[in-house]
Amino acid sequence: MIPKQLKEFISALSDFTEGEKIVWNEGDNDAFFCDHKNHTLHIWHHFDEDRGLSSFIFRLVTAGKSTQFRVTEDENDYEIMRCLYESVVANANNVSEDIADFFE
Amino acid sequence: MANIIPHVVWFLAVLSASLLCAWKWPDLIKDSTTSFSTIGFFVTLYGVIFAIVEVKRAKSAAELAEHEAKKAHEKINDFFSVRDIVECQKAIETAVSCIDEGQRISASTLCLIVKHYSEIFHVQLNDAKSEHRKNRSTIDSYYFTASEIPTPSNVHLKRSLLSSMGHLSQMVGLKSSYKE
Repeated sequence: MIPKQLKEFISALSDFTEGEKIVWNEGDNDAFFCDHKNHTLHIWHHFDEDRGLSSFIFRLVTAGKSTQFRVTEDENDYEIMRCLYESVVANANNVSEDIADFFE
Repeated sequence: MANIIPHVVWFLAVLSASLLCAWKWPDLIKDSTTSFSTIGFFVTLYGVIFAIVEVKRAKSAAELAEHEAKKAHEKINDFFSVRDIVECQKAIETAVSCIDEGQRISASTLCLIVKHYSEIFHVQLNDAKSEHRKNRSTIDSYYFTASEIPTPSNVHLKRSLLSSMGHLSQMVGLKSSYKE
């Protein structure tokens, strides 16, 4: 579940990511991170094979403090995190530049 | 010997000035009382100049001592920095060997890399767009995800480790280059 204090933040983060106002980078194991000012954000898609359950794990690191939460597919916030993750992937791949000349 | 040269020069200058004054204005030495006052004035003037020369000399000696102390401090710091850099490079070598041999990198090795790398490049890490920050975040991201995966991938991690190794080697070059 997204903690109440971070709901608005996640919503604004989606807008910022889609608007390419921040840059995400690809890490290993389907994880992505974003260095912005003195903050580092991590988002990771994980599939638990034992439980057959997919989840998104988000972590905000600021000045050594780490705040983490996990949203599994059986939770209401899953769709919000899925949308965020997909815009993160598109942002990290710089896809808008890749398709810029597609219809020309 | 060189220490008394400025005093001798100033003494001669004050003496010349006093003789010149005595020649130009003979009233300054017309009787014993006036002569005594005139001589007293020039002796005082020389005393003040003497004191100024000594104060300036003491100040420059203190500045020189401070400069030397700073140099010694920097050399000691460089020594400890190089020790940390070498330790970080060894940890990176261990991590890369683990990747090449298909083994899991221990958490302690990754912690050691992040610890030293963060200390050595603390200035560059404040810049969110720097390569150093990206390297550290990649290592952090791997550490964050690998613990929950039986066979974690490490393509980005290896790239970042090699990039970090380059930064560290560059730093060793800077630290060990000759400084006067």
